[in-house]
Amino acid sequence: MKFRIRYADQVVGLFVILAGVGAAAVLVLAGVNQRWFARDYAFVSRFGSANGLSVGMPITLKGFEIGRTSSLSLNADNSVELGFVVFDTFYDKVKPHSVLELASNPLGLGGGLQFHPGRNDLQPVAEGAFIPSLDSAAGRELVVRGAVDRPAQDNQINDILDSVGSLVAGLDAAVKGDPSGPLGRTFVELANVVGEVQVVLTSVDLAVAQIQEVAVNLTAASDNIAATTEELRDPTGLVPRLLDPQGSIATFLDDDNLLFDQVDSALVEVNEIIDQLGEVADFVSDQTPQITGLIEEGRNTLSVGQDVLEGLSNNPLLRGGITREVAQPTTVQGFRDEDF
Amino acid sequence: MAVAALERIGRDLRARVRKLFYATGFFLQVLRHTPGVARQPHVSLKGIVLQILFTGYEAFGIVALVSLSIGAIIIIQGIALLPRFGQGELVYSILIIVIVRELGPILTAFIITARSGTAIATELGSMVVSHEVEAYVAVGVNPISYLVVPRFIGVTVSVVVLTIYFSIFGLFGSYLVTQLIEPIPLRDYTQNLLSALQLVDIVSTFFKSIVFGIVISVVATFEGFAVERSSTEIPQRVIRAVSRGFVLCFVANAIITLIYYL
Amino acid sequence: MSPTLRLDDVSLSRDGTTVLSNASVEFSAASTTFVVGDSGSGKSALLKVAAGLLLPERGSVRVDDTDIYTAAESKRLALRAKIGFLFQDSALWANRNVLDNVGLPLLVHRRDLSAADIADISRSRLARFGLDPLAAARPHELSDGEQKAVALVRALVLDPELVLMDEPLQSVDHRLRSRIEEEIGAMRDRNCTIVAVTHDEDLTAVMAEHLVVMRAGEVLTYGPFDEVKASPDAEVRGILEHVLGEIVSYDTDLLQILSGDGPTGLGSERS
Repeated sequence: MKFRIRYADQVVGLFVILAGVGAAAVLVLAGVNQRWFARDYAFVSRFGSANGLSVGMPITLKGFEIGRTSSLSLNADNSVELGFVVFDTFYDKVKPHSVLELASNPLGLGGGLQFHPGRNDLQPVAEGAFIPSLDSAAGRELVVRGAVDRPAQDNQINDILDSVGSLVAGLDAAVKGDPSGPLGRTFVELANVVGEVQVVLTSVDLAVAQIQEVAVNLTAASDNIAATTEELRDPTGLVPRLLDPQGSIATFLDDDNLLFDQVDSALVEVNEIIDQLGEVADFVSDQTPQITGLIEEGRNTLSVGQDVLEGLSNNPLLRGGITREVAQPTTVQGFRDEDF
Repeated sequence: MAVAALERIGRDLRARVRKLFYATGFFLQVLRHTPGVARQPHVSLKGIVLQILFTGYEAFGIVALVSLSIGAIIIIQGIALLPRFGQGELVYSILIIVIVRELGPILTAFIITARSGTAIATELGSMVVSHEVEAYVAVGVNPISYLVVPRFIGVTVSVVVLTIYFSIFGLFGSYLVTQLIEPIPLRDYTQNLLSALQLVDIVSTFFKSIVFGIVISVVATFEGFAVERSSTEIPQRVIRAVSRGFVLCFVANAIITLIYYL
Repeated sequence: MSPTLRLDDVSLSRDGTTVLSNASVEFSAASTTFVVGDSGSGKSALLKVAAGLLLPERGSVRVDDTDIYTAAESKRLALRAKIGFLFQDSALWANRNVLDNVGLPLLVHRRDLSAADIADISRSRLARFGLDPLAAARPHELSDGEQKAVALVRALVLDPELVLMDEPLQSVDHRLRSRIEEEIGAMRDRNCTIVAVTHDEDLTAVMAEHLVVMRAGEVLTYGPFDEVKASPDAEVRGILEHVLGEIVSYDTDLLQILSGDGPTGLGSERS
């Protein structure tokens, strides 16, 4: 009888058991790897809206996934009940005064549920407890009180949201007329810029007047040069006369420096004009960075203001929360109209 | 003419429906007798053990070879192709999907159909021809519980066990191949594989292999018993056992995969 | 008390051809009945239907008052223990050795016996036919005659009260033949109900108390041997003449046949 038939029971037993062990090992390894067996601690929270929330969403603490959402439901008060679990390895982070924050962004990218543990040494809260969200007054109050270990915003989106938040506050203040806020400052700056622009424009006017004057002198000078050139060019005139022994050179040299003086004075005049021109050019170039800077500053201010307004109108958190500003005709326009 | 054609279609349909009912009845009989198999004095565990030995253990080598080479092929193709799309990590998911979820059960089923489905159909067919089946009935042994159930259990267990081996060897074999091409630590490899492996994959594979085992054994025994008198029927029935087994396995696979994605 | 076996209006067809049509016959208790007829007349089918191995399309088969096909499963199982069936081609289980072939009916029906008891009983039964040296052999290692003998041992191992035999003497050698004849005689002495299909005129002449004459799936007539033999029906006479050879035509000396000198020309023909 063949070996494997005589020991069929053993061979088959080994064959089946090895497969079973293999399958069980894979199951256990996959399970450990994917936390099938780990104990999860369940908690509840409440949000104003289910937007951005979904079941199975990871909950992170400083970038570590510490749990997942497990259920979402709309309760009788029309707020959203969120059930979530925290993995056992992170259970000790669930201190009293912990809060949940839904970091969403308008583009729908990179949002997520963040968990901020309470800043204390108390025991972790019992399973099933209520963890407030930043949507709720209780949650915000905890943050304001500093009871929450909420890190400096650790990503760009939060940065943006933060700056939007401060801009909103500034805008709020500015709208209320508080000039200490950044927007108030912006407006003040804008007013200052307008004043400066006026000053600059005045000096530009001045410069233009000077340039006109210079131009008139220039015209005269060039007329003189033209006349001289004309005379020089005249074949019957100056040159032949100059070359004529009877004529000009001799005359020129003999006429008691009359012609020489004339030429000399013309050259002096030209020199003067050139100096003046240099002065004007210096003045204009002195003024140029200032003008550029002013224009740049004005543009920046306007663009920041526009960003703020756009952010306000786009941000779902704030939409409708702030009354739209009525566009005011700026005084700057008025000044310019008068000038040009 | 048309009436005659209609009549023929009708008769054909009726015969088919009757056959279907008959086959269903056969399957239900098998199921009915399966739980009580341990209580039958003449059905020893040995029969089932031997069936697993012939169907499972002896097919182990070919299953291992096939799965090793398939795993190797997937890794080679995957490593060559996927990084071009920036999807190198996808190779693990593909390994799991192809080896564990799709090819493992169906290829094991094919191997078992080709090896044991034919053997069972031939054996039972010749038993019918030599009146051995009737002899069992004559002494009060139910051929379903005595002849079919051990094969049913043995083949089903074998397919499940071999599918497990197929998966393990397929994944392990592909690891060996990666070592040749682009060595990665075993730890990383298993870690990645295990993260890609879902519980639903394992459940679906397990379920599939059970269904395939049932299909193969029931079809083979049914076709074996469908032999009536002559030994010339045996090869015809064997062919039918294989082709029907394949077709039914494919259909079952499609249905289960569909259910998985629903 | 051995049972009575009754077939009422049994019909059976296979692939569109009629195998049995409205066959009705009663095998009375403790009688020995031989079924005769030409090859293909449905003798084997009748026997299988009677033994509960071939479900007829119509009609009923009763052992005493129990319908063999519709009775509850437990009752049918009990009935199986009372019925011994010898297949024409022996139908030994190829995957079991001779001892296990004989022991299986005991294993199924005698749950009180241990495996050793079963082996002992099987061995002693085989010894009666001188087959015990072959106990460990596989059926394919045996000659046809030996297979037949083992099949008979298997059919009789439970001491059934109703024995159905399909060609018990086919391809059996002289020594086994006499053993089988003795065994049939012993069954008769035990008042078993015996039904046999055979082409063997000697056996028929010696053993048959009743005859069933069949032709093309129909039971032409049945009744006590002498009555049937004396039937005026030309068709019956024709068949008997054919099957039983000279017995009918020439009223040969029975002693001569008993001594084994008679012609056995039709013995190997399949029914």
